[in-house]
Amino acid sequence: MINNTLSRRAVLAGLAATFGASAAAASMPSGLDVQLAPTTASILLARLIQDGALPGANLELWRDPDQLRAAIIAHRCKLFTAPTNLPANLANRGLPVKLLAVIGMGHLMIVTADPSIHNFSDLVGKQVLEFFPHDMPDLVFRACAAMEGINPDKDMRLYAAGMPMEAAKMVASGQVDTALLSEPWASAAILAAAKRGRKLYRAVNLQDVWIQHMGGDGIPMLGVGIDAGLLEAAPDLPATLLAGLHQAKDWVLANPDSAAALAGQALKISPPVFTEALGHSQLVVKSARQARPGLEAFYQTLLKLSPGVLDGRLPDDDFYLGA
Amino acid sequence: MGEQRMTCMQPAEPVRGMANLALRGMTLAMLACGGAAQAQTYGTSNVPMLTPSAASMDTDLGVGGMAMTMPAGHGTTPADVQGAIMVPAGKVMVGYSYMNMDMAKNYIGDSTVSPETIVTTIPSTMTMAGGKKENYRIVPSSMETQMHMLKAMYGVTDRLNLMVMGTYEQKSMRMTTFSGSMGTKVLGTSNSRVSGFGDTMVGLLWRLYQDPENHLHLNFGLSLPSGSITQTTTMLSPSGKLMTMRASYGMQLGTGTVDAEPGLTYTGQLHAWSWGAAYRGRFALDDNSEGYHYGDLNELTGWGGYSWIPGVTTTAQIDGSIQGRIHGADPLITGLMQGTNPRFYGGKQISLLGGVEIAGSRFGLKGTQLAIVAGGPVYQNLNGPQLGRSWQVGVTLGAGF
Repeated sequence: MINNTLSRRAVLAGLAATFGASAAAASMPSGLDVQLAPTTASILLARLIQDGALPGANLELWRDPDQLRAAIIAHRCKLFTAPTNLPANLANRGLPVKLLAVIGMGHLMIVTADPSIHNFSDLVGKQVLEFFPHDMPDLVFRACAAMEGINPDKDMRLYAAGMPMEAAKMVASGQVDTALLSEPWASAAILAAAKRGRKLYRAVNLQDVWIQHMGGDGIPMLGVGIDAGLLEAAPDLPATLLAGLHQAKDWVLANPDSAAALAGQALKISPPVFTEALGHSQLVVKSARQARPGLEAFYQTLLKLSPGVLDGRLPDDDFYLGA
Repeated sequence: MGEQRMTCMQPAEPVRGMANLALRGMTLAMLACGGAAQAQTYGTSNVPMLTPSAASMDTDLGVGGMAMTMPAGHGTTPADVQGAIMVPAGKVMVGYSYMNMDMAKNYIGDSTVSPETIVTTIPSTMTMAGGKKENYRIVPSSMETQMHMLKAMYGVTDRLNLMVMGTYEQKSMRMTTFSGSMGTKVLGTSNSRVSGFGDTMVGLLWRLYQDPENHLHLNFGLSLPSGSITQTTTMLSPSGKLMTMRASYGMQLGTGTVDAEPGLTYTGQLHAWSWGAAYRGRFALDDNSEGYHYGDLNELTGWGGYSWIPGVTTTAQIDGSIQGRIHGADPLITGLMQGTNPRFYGGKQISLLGGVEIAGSRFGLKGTQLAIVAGGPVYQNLNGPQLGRSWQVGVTLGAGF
């Protein structure tokens, strides 16, 4: 059992020391603007904020990647959760963005109403709906398909929805039978379909496919990014946040009902959906530097498929924060 | 006549469409200015985009926080196309529609004719002493039909929907009466009005085919004769007296017959575009209690729509219809007004209409929709003399549960 009080105190003390020590040397923003990805793993940063670890923080959910990019570029967002390729892309393009931690591994999966689908080979000739075309989910899907000897453009009828919510609604309602979804959208679709008497299956977990072919512990998919300017003002912040994220993860796993309630408030994910999604979301906390080998393998895979996704190269060494 | 159509409803998630558009533009602009060539379009092949159907949009996932970047009104059908979309299993859609149709100018074939021409050249069914047919002496100059419709649709299964629609109608006709039995001297004008419940339509929709871009379903309805066919009106006679008599066929509130209403509906959607076509028929199964039935009606409608911003869709529509003359006659519908002649009903019409549909979710009213459609005929070839259509406008409020 986690001692919540000690956890909160530890984080508060660390942050207070950090901000207090640096406040004289550099001006800190009065309220930290934090943007969270609408995914299950964002609960860790939400927990930190709920616990008062980031006093005065303004919490907001970003609604599509472009919205987050705009906020980062305009320096309106100093701390965020996002797919790990997004901060890498911005950093490679010269923006002062660092990756603090990986907090969620691969949570993309094929959800289908067709019980005969168990692997990529079973998708041959079938209609498959993905989302965020040309972005990370599309690229990971293509990479995993290639690992399995499948060419999505030739071997299946691939369609794209603009957003995961659209894809989830389309598979839940029966407009399509098979879709690539991330969590919590996969869980949301399965539960929504069940209400209507429609059975959906988690047919293929791309994390499993990745591990089977690439080894390691899977796809370092969701990370915490930070504006470099914030580090100048509070150089100890990474270590403090990492400690808090570890404790937040322990709290979430030990208190799933409370975490679900928090998800309803902070992430706009209904508690039943969050509870269902939690078991499929692969929560982890690794510093970016710890996760670097896996991140670079992930980035290399994306670069092979689409060099522009990371401006054609791996991020520099100073992109990865933490010990 | 005067049949209104079920509107569609496109519930949507709350969106911040304008904000998203602005942010997207800002992102791209800043990346471009900063020398970053690409925001998020990378090197993979193009994949056809799909957007959720109305049924998909209506699915509650229990997850918020992510707006629809694709237009919420995608897959929109014009407000006046009856039974054009289906609702998912267990869902109910209700709607209220108001339609105003204005008729003006008398047509014979595709030509307009003046009242003076009608009263001097068109013989009525009335016979004067000596056996000569008397010319019509009362000519309608305009007619306004207002219809209030309440409708409901229920998804028994995803494949089978039931629907019901009741109407309340108000009709008014302005007529010009010519003096005596010949000549073109105008004696005066009169207005007649009727109001009450119209016919009631019950029906089912059966889905034949659906894929992410295309949808095809069968419509089958029955129009039940709940509207009166014995309404009376008062009009000025050529002798200067006010006569109260059974209103003409077009002024009755119902048809008096049970009508079969088969139909076939196709809708398509891709990106912000939507399109579709619908056939509707209306065939009386027998004469009504007064001894007549309306001629067969066949309508074909095609439309295209584009969602400019999430939740706001405009549509353009073309309607074509062919209807036969009234068969049989009500012996109590008689007189020197052209509308008393059952031969002067039906014809061919082509109309163009434009519409806009706004999802209530843009204003925090999830599951609701406001739709407006308006237009008028571009071609009319009528079994005249009879009044032609001038313009029509309809407003629909819909809500889904």
